[in-house]
Amino acid sequence: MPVDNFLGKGQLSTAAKPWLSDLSQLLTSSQKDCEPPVCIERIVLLQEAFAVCSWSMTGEYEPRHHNIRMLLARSRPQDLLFTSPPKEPVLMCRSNNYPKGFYCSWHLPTPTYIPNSFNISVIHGTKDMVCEKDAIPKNRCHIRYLQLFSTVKYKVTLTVTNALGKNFTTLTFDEFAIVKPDPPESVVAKPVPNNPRRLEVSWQNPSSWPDPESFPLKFFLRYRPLILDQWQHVELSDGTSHTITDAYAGKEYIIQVAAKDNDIGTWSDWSVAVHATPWTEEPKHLTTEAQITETTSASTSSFMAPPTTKICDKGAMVGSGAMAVCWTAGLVVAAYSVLFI
Amino acid sequence: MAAADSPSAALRRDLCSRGIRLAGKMRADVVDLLDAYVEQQGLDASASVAAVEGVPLAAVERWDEQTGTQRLLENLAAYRAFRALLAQMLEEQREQLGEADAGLGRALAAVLLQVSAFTYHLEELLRLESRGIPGEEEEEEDGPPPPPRLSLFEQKLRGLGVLRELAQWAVRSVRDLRQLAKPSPATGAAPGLAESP
Repeated sequence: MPVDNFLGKGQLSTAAKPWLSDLSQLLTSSQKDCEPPVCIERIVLLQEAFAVCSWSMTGEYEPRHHNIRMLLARSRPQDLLFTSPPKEPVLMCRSNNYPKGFYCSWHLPTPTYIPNSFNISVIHGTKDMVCEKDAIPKNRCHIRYLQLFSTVKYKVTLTVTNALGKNFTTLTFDEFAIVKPDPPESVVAKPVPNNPRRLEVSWQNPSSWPDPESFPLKFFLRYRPLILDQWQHVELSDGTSHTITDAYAGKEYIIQVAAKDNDIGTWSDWSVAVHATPWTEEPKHLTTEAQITETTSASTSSFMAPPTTKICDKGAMVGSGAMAVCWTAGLVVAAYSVLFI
Repeated sequence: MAAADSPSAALRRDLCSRGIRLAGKMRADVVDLLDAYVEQQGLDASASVAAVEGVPLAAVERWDEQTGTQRLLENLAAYRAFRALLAQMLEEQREQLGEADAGLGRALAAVLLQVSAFTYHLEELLRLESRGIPGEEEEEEDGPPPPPRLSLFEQKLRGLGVLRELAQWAVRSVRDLRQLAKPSPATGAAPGLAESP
């Protein structure tokens, strides 16, 4: 049975592609990931084609012939992973701990399915700076500022390399432009007793911001009732608390806070959202005159008038005769009437 | 319970607070002026400008280790230099454009006024500490000889450099004055300027 042979120079079948000729580099990279006895055969996947590499009885790792059509027939399309050279990496740099330093982090926009190595260089004017790699996460490094208030830009270049190629990206920025604190922490919102339209909000500086006394933050608070989409905003130049005074009574609110250095940089992301509902008065039960008199003290023999009548002065009476009502009693009655409408 | 502030500590704190507001306003105006300058001089906002002789650089190493006196003296020297540089820019502007660009000239003059006011404010702070204020004549004697007259393009680039550094200095001054206004942890009063920050 004829077997399609697409491996090796000068032995390309009709199914082979010209770029299969450079197999040695692929063999080297795939061999590292295939150790007997766990792995005996590895299918090295290229764009639109395959190379099957396996360990021989003599202990050599080499490509084998294989029937492409059979392999493709057996495989589901989603199982076929095409290795590729790296695309332009995505690089980001930020200072969330100004004035100590900044960090840069990166990732590839699409996976290559083979190992990649990253190299980062940071230049400030003519000076090379060391970006110390973080243990976790691995795609991140940090730099300490050696100078502050410099107008000279920083230039960061990230190069990514794998067996199939390399790519790079460069970022250039000012010291101030990348300053972005982490969001405020420990945001708390509480109702204010006896105030149906107020909510007291407090928060803390992000713990990553090293010196809020010398480098104070300002804050942006946003809040809205859950039933509405529109946010209210308040900018606060100092302090880590604020009282909302225009909340809708009885409505649950969602509240968030963001932070920014007072003088430079950009706003942080919004904090974790907190929920709160303003204080509401407990509904009072109506009582009969008999219940009120029962609960009044029995220490005196004389009759004690119910509280509502005590607040009436003679001079505050309205009307005359049997319908005479004092102002204050009338207000109380009116208030109860509104409550039960 | 913290010890009550001495009158001079309270005055220093007040001067620092006012200085911070002055510097903040100055910075906002310089940033606006910078945008207008770049546009009207036909420059590229992202152009790198090499350090120009005579323009005080705001960049500093070990900023957090500076004493109060160092901060005040460096600020004073810088703003005196900016005062002269801005006056020169204003003169050049008038020569180049006459009345054609009165807006830019007025903005330059306004910033020059603020720089002069801030310089005076710094001198007040130094006087408060009974520190001798360095004479400007003294500095000029030690300074370099005046540079040769620049071409029009060189003047524009230098102007860009001046305004950029001034904007940075304004931020640095706010930070410096905040450090100066900090109370001493031991006594609760503001620290002496000779002490470390």
